[in-house]
Amino acid sequence: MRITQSIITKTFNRNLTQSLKRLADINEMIVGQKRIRRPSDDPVGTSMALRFRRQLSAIEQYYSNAKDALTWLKDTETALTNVGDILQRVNELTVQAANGTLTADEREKILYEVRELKDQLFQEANSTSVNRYIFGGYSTDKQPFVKDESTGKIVVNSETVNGLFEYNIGESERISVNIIGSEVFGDIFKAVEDLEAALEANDGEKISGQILEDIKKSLDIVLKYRAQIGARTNRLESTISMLDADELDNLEFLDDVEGIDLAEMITQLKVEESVYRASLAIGARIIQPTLVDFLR
Amino acid sequence: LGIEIAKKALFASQRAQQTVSHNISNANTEGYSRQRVILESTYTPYSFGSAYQLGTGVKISDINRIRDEFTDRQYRNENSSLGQWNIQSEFLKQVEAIFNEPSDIGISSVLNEFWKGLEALSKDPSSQEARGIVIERGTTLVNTINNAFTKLNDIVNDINYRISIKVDEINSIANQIAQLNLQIQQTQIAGASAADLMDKRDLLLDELSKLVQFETFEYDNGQFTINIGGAILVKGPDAAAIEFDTSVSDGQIIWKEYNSEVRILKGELKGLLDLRDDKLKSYIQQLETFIQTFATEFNNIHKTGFDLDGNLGEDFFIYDVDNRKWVVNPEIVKNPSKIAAAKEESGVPGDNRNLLELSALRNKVIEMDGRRSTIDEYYAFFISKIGMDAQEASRATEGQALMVNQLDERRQMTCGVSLDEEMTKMIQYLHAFNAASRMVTAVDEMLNTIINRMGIS
Repeated sequence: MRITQSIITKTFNRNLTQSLKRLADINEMIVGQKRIRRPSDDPVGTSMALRFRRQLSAIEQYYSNAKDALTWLKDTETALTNVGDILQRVNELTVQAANGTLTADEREKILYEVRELKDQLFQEANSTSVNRYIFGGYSTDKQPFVKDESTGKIVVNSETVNGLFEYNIGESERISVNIIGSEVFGDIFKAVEDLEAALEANDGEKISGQILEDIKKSLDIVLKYRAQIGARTNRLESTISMLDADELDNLEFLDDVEGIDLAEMITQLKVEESVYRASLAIGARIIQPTLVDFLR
Repeated sequence: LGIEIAKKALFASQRAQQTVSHNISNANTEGYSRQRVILESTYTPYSFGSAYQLGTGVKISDINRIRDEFTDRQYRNENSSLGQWNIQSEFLKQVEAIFNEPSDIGISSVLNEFWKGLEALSKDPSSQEARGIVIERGTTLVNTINNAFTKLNDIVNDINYRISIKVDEINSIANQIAQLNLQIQQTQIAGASAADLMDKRDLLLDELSKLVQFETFEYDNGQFTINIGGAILVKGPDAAAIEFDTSVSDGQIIWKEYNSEVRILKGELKGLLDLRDDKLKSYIQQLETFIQTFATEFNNIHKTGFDLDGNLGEDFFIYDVDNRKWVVNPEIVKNPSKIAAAKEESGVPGDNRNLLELSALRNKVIEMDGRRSTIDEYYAFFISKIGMDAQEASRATEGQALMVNQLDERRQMTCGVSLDEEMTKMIQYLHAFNAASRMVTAVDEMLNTIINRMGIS
């Protein structure tokens, strides 16, 4: 094998460039904190990274959806609790009014309070969550219950459309967010208004019979819906903690695929650095003395 | 007679020293191959009546260049492959840069943002603000895709430009070689050595090999020929011209004289043509499939819904044929209420079922290019295909570069100048010169003895 000076310098140059390139690569990875800088660094890893990123973005959204649904349900729950409290008071008054010894005067006093309570119920039935009517079905922009000015009775707004809307809280998981106002409040208002009429008519017998029973039933209705909301809230809360765990998992997967192991990278950097230094040191000697130096 | 022989020896040593000097001077000259003086003893056919043949000294019979033609061929063949992969790798890196994946600004990210915008709107379809966000993100999405199309087409144009430059380079090299062929032939006819001219020709051939694969033949009469794809590019002092035919799209390279296509096997030209006709074409087509499918599926669902005013939905994404780009329907941009969120006319404004259906499109498996996958997966597959192509090209470039370097080293082993060797030769010829000088002095002394000392005293 015949070795010439130009072979030595060329080879040296090439090796030096390669060593410097590796050094630059590792540097770029450490600075960017990413192992995959472009698809060709790892084509399969890239498509996995894209998938994890997509899942993360979806999870983030489901999480926010679930949180918002929870807010809506909390507002619904508050309204129903208030309705329950009001009906409890109505119940007390009904029991009081059912007492046969009550005078017409005393019944009238009760009537005033019942009217007051009915107004409160009316307000609760028209509760909003972030400016949208909770009990209005699809018609979140219209008051679901209106007062008939001529009769003073509360009726369902005929312009509203009932409908349950759902939020996505998982890839194929949805949850109904609202409950239909007319189903909840229809019988309640009827019972309270019957009580009103009986009080006006001073009909103690009816109050102690049919009406007392209806008011009790109303309380049961509220309880039923509160239980329903409670169940949905539970489901949402467990979904949220599941999404939390999912997010962590996916972050970890993503980091595994496109992130770097800093300790390993820095070790590698040190190795490459020393290789580069050694190359330079060799370079100083590689311009070997030739026979020229020894001829006089 | 002796002094004549010594004179010849002096001249020969001097010429040999000149060659040593020439070698040392060109130790770092690109493409130079070391030269060697071939010395030959001379003799006279006349025996002057004796039984011996009388030597008459030394002469220089030739100055050779030392070259390994077999390795040259191998080098050029591998260099063609290197050129082909290298240029592909260079352009594929640009393609990767266009898509900028994985990152927070690539198409996949803006698509994710768009899906999120839809979901946010599904929670409150009456919100004008959320509608605005969907439109804005939809616009960002199509703009990002339009931008990718523009840049891919820019690359195609750039490739065409590079092809035309490479074609010019080939023509220029062919002409230079033809000229050198003439000079070499003339020099050789005059009986002289054309080593340096041949070095120049070999260097040009090395350059040419990067551009395109070729074959060379040298006929007995010294005619040097270069073939590309079986047709003659250079024959002795004549060069044929090739041309980049831009009269048609996807222009090909043709022989100017015959107007027929040049068969290109390897080299940068082949790399460029393959990139343009194979890789980039398929990238553009796949990106088209992606946006086309997405827009069609999305529009189909959107059109079954009702907007805030209770009207049926219109197309959401539209291809603007005049400006050759995708846009969000300008009517919807003007009036965000036109996003069809509701499934039933009466469901407005709280009905979000159409939005839920649009969101579900994200997980819908659709057949695209014979592959069944979701929209997102199709895109991820597309990106990893580009990654694989780029990776293949860059790995092949690395491997090929290693091979070419090794072959070059092997060539250098034969034809490179070793300073040590030249120094040794220098000393050798110096001693020969000194000895010959000494010979002259000796003959001089002999003559002195004969002429001045004999018969007088």
